[in-house]
Amino acid sequence: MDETKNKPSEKMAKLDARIIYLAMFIALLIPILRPLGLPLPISDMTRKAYEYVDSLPSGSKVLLALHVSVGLWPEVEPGTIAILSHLFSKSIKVVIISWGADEPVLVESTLTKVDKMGKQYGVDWVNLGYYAGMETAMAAFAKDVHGLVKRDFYGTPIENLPIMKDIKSAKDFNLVIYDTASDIAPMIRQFVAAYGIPMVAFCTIGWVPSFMPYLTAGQIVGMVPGIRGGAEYELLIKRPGSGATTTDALSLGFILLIVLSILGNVIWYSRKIGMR
Amino acid sequence: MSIFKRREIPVIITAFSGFLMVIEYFFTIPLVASISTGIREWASLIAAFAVGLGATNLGIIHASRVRHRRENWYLSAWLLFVMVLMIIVGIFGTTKHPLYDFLFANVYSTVGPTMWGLLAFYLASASFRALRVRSLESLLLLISAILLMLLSAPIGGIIPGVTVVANWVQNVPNTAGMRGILLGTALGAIGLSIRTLLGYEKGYLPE
Amino acid sequence: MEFISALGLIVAVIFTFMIWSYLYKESFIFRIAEYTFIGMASGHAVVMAVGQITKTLGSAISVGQYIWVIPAILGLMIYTRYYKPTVWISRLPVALLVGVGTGLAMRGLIEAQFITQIISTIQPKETIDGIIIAILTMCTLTYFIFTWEPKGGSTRKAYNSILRIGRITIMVAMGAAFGVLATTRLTLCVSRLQFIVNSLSRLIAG
Repeated sequence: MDETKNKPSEKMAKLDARIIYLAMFIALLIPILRPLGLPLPISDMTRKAYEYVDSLPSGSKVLLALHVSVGLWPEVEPGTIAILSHLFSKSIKVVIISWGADEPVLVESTLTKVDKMGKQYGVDWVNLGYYAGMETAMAAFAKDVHGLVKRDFYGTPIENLPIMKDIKSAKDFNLVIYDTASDIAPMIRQFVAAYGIPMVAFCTIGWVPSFMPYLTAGQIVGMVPGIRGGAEYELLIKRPGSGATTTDALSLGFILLIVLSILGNVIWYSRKIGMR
Repeated sequence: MSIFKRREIPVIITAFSGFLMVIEYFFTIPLVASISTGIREWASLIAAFAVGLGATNLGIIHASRVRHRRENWYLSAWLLFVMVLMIIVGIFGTTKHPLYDFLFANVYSTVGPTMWGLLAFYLASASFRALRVRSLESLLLLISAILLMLLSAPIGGIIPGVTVVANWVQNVPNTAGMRGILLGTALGAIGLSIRTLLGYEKGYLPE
Repeated sequence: MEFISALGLIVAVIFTFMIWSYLYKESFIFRIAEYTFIGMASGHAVVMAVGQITKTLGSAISVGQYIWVIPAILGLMIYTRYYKPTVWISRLPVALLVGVGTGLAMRGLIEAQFITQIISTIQPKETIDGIIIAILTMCTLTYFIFTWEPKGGSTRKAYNSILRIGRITIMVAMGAAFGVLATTRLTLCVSRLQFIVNSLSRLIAG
């Protein structure tokens, strides 16, 4: 009988993946049932985004462009709730447009969780719905809003919406907030490079490394990275929400991932030495 | 009619519309600006028509599976039923229809994130089986990954120095690496765009 | 709790477990959830696209802008691709879409992704980190040169060192990408688990 098969390292190496999945379930479930309550330091990129939005003068107009499919929405939703609450707490007009098909319906449900502070639909904010064509639609909107958009998401002609009277092109916006789970480059090309409109990215955290060159170059003025950014933004506007609890619950999952990668390497090395 | 069947016509349309966008950006010519603005708005509407291609392809493939009673044909029939149900309720009752709202909120919005989240479990398994430190490069990859994970959750903040180092990795070497890749892809994209507009690339045309 | 809300929660919890069943074994249960999602996703995309078409065309035609019929016809022409003898018709709208998209991307790309990035590299804001970024960016770019390499001993050695630094920089960036990818996926998992815990406690509480 081969003795090496009975070694702990050999047994561990052949560990059933389902045991790892179960360990992950438990690691994620524990902090949900018993929150760790760890303090969350606020990152520079989120602070910059918050400070820029906060410094917008009354009467400013902000475009909230969305491109996050249903699968990734839970990651950006807390940040979206926080930014909308922040915008509604000031006298800022908000125009929402979607470059993906899921977002108009998703944002509608998200808006039910936002305290609108008495702000009126059509006067202070509007949901323009979905426009196909990605970069083509972005460029068309930036150049001539009324040329592309004839009616809002609910079918009201935009001439009948007071908020849209002074918004003719990208130049009429003071800030673009891009809520995204895809590349930011098309929006930078069509809004920042073409019209010099400042932009803040609310992105899934997976895009942060790729967006760093744009942040360093000043093409985006701030970035709110995924669930962590959402939690930070909640703290900055002093309205703790679901972002903080979700971020807290990630901690044990990360520890498990780190332990697994170290353990995997230790087993690999011990097997390697054993073979020699 | 046969002249329109030639591939030169679509190539000319691509070149004309593409260069029109470029000229509009760099020169102030009112006529060009007005034509290109109109074409862009038209293109968005055409793109909306093109969205249906996905559903049409899916419909054709799954209808064929049902017709020929291929393996799991009843799943294809179910897919077609769900798709048609969504289309009928969504178009005639709008997305505000109670049935549409119910399906969107409780099925579509549930299955999507759960499917995306499945990868977390595979990442755990991959961390155990595949993240091997075979060289300096792979060691740095692992360290960088661990630091960024720790930066993403409050747990990183309680380990002294982790936030500072992780932020530096994200802001300096990561930015440099991503910028290098960005510049490389930008160069490639410029080359591909010029080739497309000049008619050297025709792969996008339906066969 | 309202009946519809409770039913919604039950359906959502069931579908979540149907997807998670894949972790144990690929099964018919998972397949049903998967096919349901694909059907809903494509159906929803059509609904939203039809919404844009009817809103745009309806508004334009109601004010006598009949010229909008042209892009509508062009849009319908795309569907001729399913019949071989008429495929050529679908090439015309596709050519327009590709031309407009390519032109728009190209014109902004030079400034947004090329010139600004180069300026930011050679005019760094924070001196030491900025210089490091500039050096590492150049090493990364050098790594992507596949058509030329220097001849001769010491030059080649120095060049290989640059390539190594470039490779290491890319690996660090890829590691960062892996780390944040894990975060995204874990977040989605946590959000689903939170949903399950909250839903079950709501259902139990009635």
